[in-house]
Amino acid sequence: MNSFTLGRYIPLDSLMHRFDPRAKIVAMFLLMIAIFMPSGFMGYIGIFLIICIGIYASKLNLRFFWNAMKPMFFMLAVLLVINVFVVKSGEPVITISNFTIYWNALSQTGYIAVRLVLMIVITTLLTATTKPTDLTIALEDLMKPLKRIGFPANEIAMIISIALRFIPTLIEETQRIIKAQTSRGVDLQEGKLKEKVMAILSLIVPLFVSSYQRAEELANAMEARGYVPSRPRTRYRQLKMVGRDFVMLAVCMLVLLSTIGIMIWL
Amino acid sequence: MPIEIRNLSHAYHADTSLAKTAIHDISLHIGDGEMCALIGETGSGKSTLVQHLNALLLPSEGELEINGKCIYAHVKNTGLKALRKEVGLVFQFPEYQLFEETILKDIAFGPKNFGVEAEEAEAIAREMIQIVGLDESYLEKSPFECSGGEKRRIAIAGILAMNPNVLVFDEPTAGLDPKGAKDMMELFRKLNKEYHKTVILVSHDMEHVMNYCDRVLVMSDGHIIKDCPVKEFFRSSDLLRKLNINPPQILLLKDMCAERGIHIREDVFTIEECVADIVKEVKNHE
Ligand SMILES: Nc1ncnc2c1ncn2[C@@H]1O[C@H](COP(=O)(O)OP(=O)(O)OP(=O)(O)O)[C@@H](O)[C@H]1O
Ligand SMILES: [Mg+2]
Repeated sequence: MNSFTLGRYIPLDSLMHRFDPRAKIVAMFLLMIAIFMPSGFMGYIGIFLIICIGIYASKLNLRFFWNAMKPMFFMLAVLLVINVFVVKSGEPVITISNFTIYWNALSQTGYIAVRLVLMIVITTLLTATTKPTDLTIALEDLMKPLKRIGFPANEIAMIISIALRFIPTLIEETQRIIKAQTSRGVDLQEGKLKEKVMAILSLIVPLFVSSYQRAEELANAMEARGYVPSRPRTRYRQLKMVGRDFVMLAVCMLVLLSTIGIMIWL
Repeated sequence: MPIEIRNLSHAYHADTSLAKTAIHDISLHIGDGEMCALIGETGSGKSTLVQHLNALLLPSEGELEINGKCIYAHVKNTGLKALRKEVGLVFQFPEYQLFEETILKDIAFGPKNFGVEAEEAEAIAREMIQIVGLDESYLEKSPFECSGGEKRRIAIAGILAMNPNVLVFDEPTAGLDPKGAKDMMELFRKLNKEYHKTVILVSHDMEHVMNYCDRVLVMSDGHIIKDCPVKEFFRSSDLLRKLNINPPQILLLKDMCAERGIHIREDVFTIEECVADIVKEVKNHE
């Protein structure tokens, strides 16, 4: 429970940490688009290089990224099995009795795997080097233009920051309820399916009940202090883009353009 | 079934940079049918210690022996579920563990997990709801439409239903009104005296400790710094002050009397006896 790495902020002092959070978010979007360009394995070279530089500049160790990717392996395994059964085109690779595995099944899975790995590394890079509060501030700023068309940017930012704030609380709460139910004989590891369903239920119901209670209390506390969702809010911390942020954005843009180039050219 | 703790230490987040030793080298014997209070300031390690008693936490160093079942550090312990049936642990704010649609089902949940047949578990639930001082009409209600104090009782009934021999309560009266808290303490006394359960009570309320418990364990910074009978512990307020504990009212009264030259016997702990002593002293004086 404590060991999950996806989305966790790691306080270090590195170049990646110092970039403007807005620049980082935009850069992430650019690279995501680049990943989804159908420009074959060739197009990934540029993305791969820039990600390597990013990891180096973040001072995070590789093990951290490896941990973030672990939950994905199960999904990839399932995908591989499905592809092996469904995709029946390309060169046959191997035939076992009368079942044939085709090249395209493997290459398609590999392709998805590469995309997923790249995406996870990029998002991990962003969340590990940016404080959750900075992320929400940046999102709020980036969503500002959408306010013209009636998009509730302030409210969304507030919702995100509250959600982030309560993740550790929820984890703590879950652990407490797990302990309480364990001492009532709930066994989360073993047992038949029916017992397992019951065990999960005995965690989820109390968790929901206390979350609703907490939400209500928080809402009351905010209103009691005069919070009105739609009013404009000022803030203490102002973000400012500097030279290095623009350089980073330019490099990411270049990567995106190069993948587009490869796509058209090939 | 005595509880034997030998050189127990526990570190949270062991093997990481956040490692923190919450209890150090604790050795302790608690005999059958004792009613023990565990006190100590916030963060002194009380909850950490009691969670070892039913193996929710496992020792980092040292070992425990409960009813002949041993739990060691550094090895994979098995059969923990059997131990959890022997030691019922009631957490602070246990009402958060309620989840079934009806109170009947919620109380029967524990016994069923330990292999009791559904019908028998419900019969147990009917019995337990009365022990905790609610009537049978509650059984068909949803636990979520009860008041905080009622929920607390229901949660305790849920633990009692497993019929553990040792009952551990972690601050069971926090957030209850004085009457509710007193009822709760009476219940624990009943469980101890009539049902012969070993009761371990974590509490911040010295009045409760003094009036209901037989033995006091004081924790500070992960160590047990005092272990003595309740009578000895509350003999004078000096010891309490030294341990940074607010003495109960009766001790303050005795102190005030002493200042005015009225002598009250050391083993007087109730207000009636105290008044009797004062009257006697005053009469002597005249
Ligand atoms: N899950 C945890 N992870 C890390 N440290 C913890 C955890 N639980 C408790 N601690 C630490 O261990 C120490 C002992 O905590 P514990 O909960 O046992 O104290 P306590 O005596 O029960 O306090 P209280 O009276 O407030 O309930 C504290 O310093 C606390 O910070
Ligand atoms: Mg505690």
